[in-house]
Amino acid sequence: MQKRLQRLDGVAKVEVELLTQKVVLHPKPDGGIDLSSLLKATHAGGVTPVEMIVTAGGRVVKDAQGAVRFRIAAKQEFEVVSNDASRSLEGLAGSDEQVTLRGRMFQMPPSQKFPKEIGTLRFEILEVLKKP
Amino acid sequence: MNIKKVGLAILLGLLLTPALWAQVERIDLQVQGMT
Repeated sequence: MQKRLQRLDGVAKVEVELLTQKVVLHPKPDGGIDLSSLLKATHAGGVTPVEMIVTAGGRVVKDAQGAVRFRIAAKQEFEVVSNDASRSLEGLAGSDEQVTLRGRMFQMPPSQKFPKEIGTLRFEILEVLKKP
Repeated sequence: MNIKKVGLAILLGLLLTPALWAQVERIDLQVQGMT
């Protein structure tokens, strides 16, 4: 599984902790990781992802309906789950200010079965690590 | 010196800088069944 993840585009390093059942991925500086593909590759490797926490820098934007989104790169923009942290960042939407956020982007559904389709990933802010 | 080329280079640098800064820094996966 570790080698499968290491071969994914944009992955620089994979650390595996068997005791705690944790995998930490470090992206390449200039690479973009397809997060849905990462989840699928993990499951295809015989290991079930239970939760995915992503730490990323980017900008807060709003879509046409006024919903807050987190733009990590041109092709990586995610709807943000509304919570106290997301509301505290709404004022930054549309500005060029950069923030670093830690958020949950996948959690095993209550059925405890890995979904056949990952669907649209949303960013649930757990912690604002850096903001202007 | 071609002012247009210099201006274009500066503009591209400004446009690209946020993209270079903005990125995924780390992904933590909690899994089951890893042996």
